[in-house]
Amino acid sequence: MSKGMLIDLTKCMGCRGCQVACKQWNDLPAEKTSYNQEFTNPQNRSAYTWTLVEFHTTTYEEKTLSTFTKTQCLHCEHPACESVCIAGAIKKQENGAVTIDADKCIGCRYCQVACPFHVPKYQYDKLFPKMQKCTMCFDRISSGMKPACAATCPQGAILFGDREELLKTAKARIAKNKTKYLDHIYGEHEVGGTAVMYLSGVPLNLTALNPNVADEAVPNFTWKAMKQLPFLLGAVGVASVGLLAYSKRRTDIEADQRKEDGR
Amino acid sequence: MAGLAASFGRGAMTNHWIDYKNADVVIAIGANPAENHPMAMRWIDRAREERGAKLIVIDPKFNRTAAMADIYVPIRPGTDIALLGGILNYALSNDKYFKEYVAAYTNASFLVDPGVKFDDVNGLFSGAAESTDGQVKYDTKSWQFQKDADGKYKLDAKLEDPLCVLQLMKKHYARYTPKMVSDTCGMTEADFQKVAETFCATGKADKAGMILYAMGITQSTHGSQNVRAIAILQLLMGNIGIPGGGVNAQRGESNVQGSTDMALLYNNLPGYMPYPTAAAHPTLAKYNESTPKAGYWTNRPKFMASMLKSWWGAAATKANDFCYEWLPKLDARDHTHMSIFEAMGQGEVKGLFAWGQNVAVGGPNQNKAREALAKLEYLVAVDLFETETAGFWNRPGVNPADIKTEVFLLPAAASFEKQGTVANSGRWIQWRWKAVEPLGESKDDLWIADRLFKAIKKEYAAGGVMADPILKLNWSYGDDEPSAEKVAMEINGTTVADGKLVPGFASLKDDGTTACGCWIFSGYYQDADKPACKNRTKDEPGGLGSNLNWSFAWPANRRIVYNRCAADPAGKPWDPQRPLIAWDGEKWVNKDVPDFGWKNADGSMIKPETSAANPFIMNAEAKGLLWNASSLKDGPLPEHYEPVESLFANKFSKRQFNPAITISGKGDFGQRAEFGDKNYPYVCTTYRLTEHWQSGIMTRNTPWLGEMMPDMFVELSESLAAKLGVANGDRVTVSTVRGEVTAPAMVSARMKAIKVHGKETDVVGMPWHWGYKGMFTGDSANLLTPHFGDANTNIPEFKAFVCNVKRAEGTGPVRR
Amino acid sequence: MQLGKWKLNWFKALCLLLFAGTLGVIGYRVMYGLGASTGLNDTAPWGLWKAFDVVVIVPLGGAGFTMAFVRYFLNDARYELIARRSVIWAAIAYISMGARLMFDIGLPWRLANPLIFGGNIHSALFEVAWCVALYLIVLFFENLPRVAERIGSQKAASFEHNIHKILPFFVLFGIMLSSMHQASLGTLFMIVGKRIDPLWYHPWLNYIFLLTAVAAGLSVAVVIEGLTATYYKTKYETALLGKLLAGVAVFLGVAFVWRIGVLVMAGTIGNAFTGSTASLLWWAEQLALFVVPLVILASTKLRNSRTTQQIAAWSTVVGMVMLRLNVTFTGMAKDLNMHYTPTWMEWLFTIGFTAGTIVAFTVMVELLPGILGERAVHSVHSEALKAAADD
Ligand SMILES: Nc1nc2c(c(=O)[nH]1)N[C@H]1C(S)=C(S)[C@@H](COP(=O)(O)OP(=O)(O)OC[C@H]3O[C@@H](n4cnc5c(=O)[nH]c(N)nc54)[C@H](O)[C@@H]3O)O[C@H]1N2
Ligand SMILES: Nc1nc2c(c(=O)[nH]1)N[C@H]1C(S)=C(S)[C@@H](COP(=O)(O)OP(=O)(O)OC[C@H]3O[C@@H](n4cnc5c(=O)[nH]c(N)nc54)[C@H](O)[C@@H]3O)O[C@H]1N2
Ligand code: SF4
Ligand code: SF4
Ligand code: SF4
Ligand code: SF4
Ligand code: SF4
Ligand SMILES: [Mo]
Repeated sequence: MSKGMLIDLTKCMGCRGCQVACKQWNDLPAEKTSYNQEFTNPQNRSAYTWTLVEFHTTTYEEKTLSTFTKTQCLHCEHPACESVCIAGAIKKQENGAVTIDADKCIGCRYCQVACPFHVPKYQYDKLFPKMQKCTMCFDRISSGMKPACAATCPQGAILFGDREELLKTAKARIAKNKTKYLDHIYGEHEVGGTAVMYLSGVPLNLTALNPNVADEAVPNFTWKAMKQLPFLLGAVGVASVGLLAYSKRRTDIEADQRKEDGR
Repeated sequence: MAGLAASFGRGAMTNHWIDYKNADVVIAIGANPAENHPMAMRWIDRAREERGAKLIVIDPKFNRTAAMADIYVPIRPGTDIALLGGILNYALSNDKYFKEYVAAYTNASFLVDPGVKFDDVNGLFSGAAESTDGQVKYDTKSWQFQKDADGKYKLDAKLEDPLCVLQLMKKHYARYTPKMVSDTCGMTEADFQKVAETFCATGKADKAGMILYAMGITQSTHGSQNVRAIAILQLLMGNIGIPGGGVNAQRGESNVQGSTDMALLYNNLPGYMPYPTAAAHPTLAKYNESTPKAGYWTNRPKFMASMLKSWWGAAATKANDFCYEWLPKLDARDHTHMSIFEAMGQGEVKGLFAWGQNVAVGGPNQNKAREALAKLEYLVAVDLFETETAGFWNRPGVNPADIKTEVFLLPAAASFEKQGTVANSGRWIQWRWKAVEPLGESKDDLWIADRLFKAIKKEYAAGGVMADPILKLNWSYGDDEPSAEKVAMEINGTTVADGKLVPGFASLKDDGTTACGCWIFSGYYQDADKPACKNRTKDEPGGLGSNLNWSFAWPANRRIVYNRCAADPAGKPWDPQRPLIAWDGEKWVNKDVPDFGWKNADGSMIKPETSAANPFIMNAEAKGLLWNASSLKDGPLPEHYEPVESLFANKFSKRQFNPAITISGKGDFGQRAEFGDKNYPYVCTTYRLTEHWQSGIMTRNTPWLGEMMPDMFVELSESLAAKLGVANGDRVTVSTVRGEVTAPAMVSARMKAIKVHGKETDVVGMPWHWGYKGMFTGDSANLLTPHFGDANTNIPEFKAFVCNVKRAEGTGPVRR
Repeated sequence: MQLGKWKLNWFKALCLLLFAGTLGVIGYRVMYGLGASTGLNDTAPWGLWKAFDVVVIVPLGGAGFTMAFVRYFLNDARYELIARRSVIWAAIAYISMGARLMFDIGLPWRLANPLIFGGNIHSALFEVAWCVALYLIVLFFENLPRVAERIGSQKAASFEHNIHKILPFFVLFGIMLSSMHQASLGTLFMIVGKRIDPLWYHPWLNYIFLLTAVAAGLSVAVVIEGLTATYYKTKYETALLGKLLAGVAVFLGVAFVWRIGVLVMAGTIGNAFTGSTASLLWWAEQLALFVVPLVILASTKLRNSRTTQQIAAWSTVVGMVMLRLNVTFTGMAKDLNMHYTPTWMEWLFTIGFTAGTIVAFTVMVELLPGILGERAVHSVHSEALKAAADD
């Protein structure tokens, strides 16, 4: 059964317990940071910060509005990162997690280019670097535990469970409280569906979620081209041979011509 | 806390955390649960999800709780009484209060002495005597009720007599008009109306409104009266004693409830018994004479005798007043935090134990406080880290050679490195087990205390003045490793003869046959094998969430105190949906432990009528106190005064600030900006952040937390930033008469200029978590804060003072 | 029989000096890692080394398969010498590309792992890797005859003879592989979909890459001819090259129309007129890659004059380079919110390695016989050579 997470932004109060829990469970070091107006810190996700609560404070409809968005790997149903990985190091597991096998990774960093959410992060500072990202706490969920962040959240803003069930829950919440929620489950259809999904009470552009991602599964973008390689081969082959035949014929004729001219 | 005791009889949260889920409207005023009590938000969220409850946040700053709120209203620091008085006025003049409840369970119908007056020109209650510093001293016994010949209170059940409490309140708060309130508090009239209407909609039988408060309310020169105002509002709305209601003081330090229960406050004995003074209580007899004549406190002599017995064991006999004379007595002086530091500044204090306290960051007016520390002969810090306090002698800008104080740092084990109980705001006393071994040489506090006492006893064994109280003290918690269980049993109480643990305070006696360390805890450790405080059984979901089998709540495992008020005088629950206690005709059906007489010793039931007459068993008046006739130093009813440092003249009366406080801080600790001082044109307040804990020494030594919130900052509005020509991140220097703080300016929409009496007013805010030790350093907000406080508790006015802000050199963090 | 010698001159000396620098950089890279030696970071996962040393070098090496095609499948013996030079160049270029890639990836020693232990067939990069690997083998065989000639023994001669029998199949195979990976280099970037700057978005970027690779490949051949003619005094085949350039024009034409067409259809052409840096770079690219060459090549006269031929060829090559760099950097800058400035080490590595590659090329050209066509060779193809000579 494919697992997922439902992050209800209307419940998130920006306490960042999840951010710390992630570092604690995954033994990630603290980064050097300094004062930042929005409380967001570190500034970006990195090989050492797999999940980041992004703060966004503005004046919206004459009122002050603060949004807190827990960002992390969305564990796409059809992961771009997996599809491009030259080494086959990235895998969408049965349980829904998308994981990177450090022993296979060669460090081409194509996954970084490919991920529509800029999730995989590289240890550029290391001599033997690894490609890092949220693993959906693969180790924990494989042994029946919740991901560390979900287990920590005081608000229960991070639900963990079967993706199908979570979708039901999400729909129920929207149905029950139309005024509170946007009628949109982020990740239900985006990039062909993601295991980590979001509910929001405010327009997505006020959160850290990217509203402009298409619903098409990203791997198709390249697959449609690669599908055609055989035809390309055929075409080139046929063309070449054809031209060869034609040009051979022509040169022979020219040769004869010369002989005659020789007389 | 004082304000709560002065209204209901006990100085603690009336309900409990999980009960938040039963509310229909929640006001968080001067409290920021999302950041400081995160788990509280979970239950508020439950209420919103399951009951469609509304969350109202009233706060100068748009904090993370405000971000979750249905209604957020800004307020000028220090003006909460104006707002609450306004709501009282709205309720009283529009009949929005819960009449039956008010008539039955409060002292609204009591008639007050005709002599008691309030002079609304000079803002003084009767009974005021001018004292030297222009302040007044009230004769707190002068606000009494009328009594008939045989000492019974005179009442007007119809609540119409102009001298009855309700009418007096009507008159008093009539002055708190929407216009006055909104002008004073810096909110729009519309916002005020929205809050008043939304909340007063709970003044009905089937609606529950809850008010949460914390430091935004208490850290004020009229903090106790702030709390009183909240308490009065809740009594009027009929929200006390009911599920989803209450005045919920969200307490601070994880075990501050426990430590105040254990007499952390200098003028308390364990269980909130008043501390005897040399002048008034030289003998036990004299002390017992001061016992209240009515209410449950009439049992106090039993608790006192049992306490003394537990202290001096065999040596304590009825004949020798249980060694009462060995009990040190208070002099006439105030011994709260600030007074101690003022005395220290005068060189009157030889030594200080900073035992789990970082006074060089937490206390007000740090420039003075840190100087005062240097006047000590010795300082012992018992702590997890080298705190600013332990390291005050080598702080930036001082030459260690100039400091003569001898400093000791004893490494203590952290909470999860030892076992014992922690009492939360909901009065739950929960046993905690040791999770990991103490780090390095650090030791359990109990171990340290035990060793310390044994060493002292050894010294006295060689003789000394008054050696007996030490030598004969009952101290047997083990020879090497003291046992927390042993301490717990002593606190729970035993019958002396057989050493059996007592089931509860009801079985305590005044004849020396019982010993009990802290009567209110009694029962939490009755069964040595399976003590109640170790219970961990949850309720079935769906219920009211009393969870009676999860830990033990004092008193007597009652979860919602004053719960008699949850049902009408006939015992019928006000709200059939939320039946906490109910009289079914012949017996009580309870979902909580009744906080009233419901059953006789023989098991026969006590009729509802009886308890209906006595819903607030701790109060002599037996009722909820709208009018407090004696226990507060600054008046029977809350009245608005400005903070001591304010930009605005008090528009309610000529009295600028609370007349009953003392502001003459010794050694010019009490420096303050005189009213109208143009050098300090802005209002300043201080607060907390989720990421840091208190003085910050714990969190500033935790890389993961420092990473998220590395640097001190000063938060100001976009408009003020524009005025000062400051961009976000530019350094600013905030100054008060007491000191300066330099930090990057956080220019954010969280702070907004407010309109006060027609004048655009800027509020500046800052966290107080930084200092000069640990991994992440910065200026301490307390370099700025004033050294005067509440009339009753003397808690410093950390939340409202005046300051100036200037652009400083450079941008970015300022680390120390 | 006399054999060619490799002679050092100031130019080669300078190149070797630069390459020495590159070796230094490699040393540093291997000891201290990517972060220490490059400006790479999470906002710029692909830098100069990916963009130039792989994505650009490969189409530069495209001279090989395009000329092989002309020589063997248009079966025009007159192109024998030109083809030989291009094919040698291709071999050198591809080898250096592989060597460069090794230091760009995080764990150099794993470079071949995907090929050895199997990779992921959905990955365009994996496809490129395979093609390149195989194509290197092909190139080896395509060049084997030269080596055989150099050794010159009878045995070698007969061996060479046999090779020539099967050579056409290798060549065909090579052409197919090249078309595939030249296109797949474009496919690489299609994964980002519309995240790329609209000016470089193309639903079939792979074919745009292929078309421009062919054009650039032929152009490189032309450029090589210009250079060998100058430095090795070989015969400059104006007419033959003119024909090649006609081909170039066709491929460029198709690519140009298709690209602009897409922009117009999508209504994103407007982005070209915003005056943004991106739009300016786009214009520069169009100018170099399409406008200049097409204008020149449109005229029979200019197409058959050495100077203009060289201008057109160079312009095409430069334009192709710009296209590749723009796609990797300008196109992705916004989406990745790229903060990237190559370090001096990255520059030195790239420049030095390229210099080294050129030297390697001169070594081959000067040592291997039958490339500069300075002496009659006894090879099976002597007729062809003669034909080439007396045309
Ligand atoms: N993360 C974290 N949690 C903590 C602590 C901590 O340091 N860090 N400390 C613990 C302790 S000891 C305590 S006492 C509690 C304190 O808990 P809180 O009282 O919630 O803490 P504060 O942030 O000091 O103050 C709460 C709010 O009061 C507002 N305020 C300031 N002045 C006024 C005013 O005049 N009127 C009103 N209505 N509001 C005002 C502030 O803007 C702030 O948002 O937190 C406890 N929990
Ligand atoms: N400006 C401003 N100032 C304020 C406030 C404000 O709102 N504004 N709030 C005030 C309030 S409400 C409070 S409660 C005070 C708090 O002021 P303090 O109590 O002085 O501050 P803490 O950091 O809580 O100090 C607790 C110390 O105990 C140590 N400690 C932790 N666990 C243990 C243990 O198990 N054993 C021992 N021995 N030590 C331990 C910690 O390392 C820390 O040094 O600050 C007050 N100061
Ligand atoms: S979000 Fe990015 S990294 Fe995560 S699975 Fe999807 S594509 Fe892969
Ligand atoms: S960097 Fe590693 S994980 Fe990412 S695509 Fe390359 S090989 Fe796969
Ligand atoms: S699921 Fe695990 S790895 Fe992913 S963000 Fe949560 S804690 Fe971190
Ligand atoms: S722990 Fe939960 S509430 Fe706190 S920030 Fe993370 S998601 Fe939000
Ligand atoms: S004090 Fe404990 S329970 Fe409360 S929020 Fe902090 S960690 Fe959670
Ligand atoms: Mo506190």
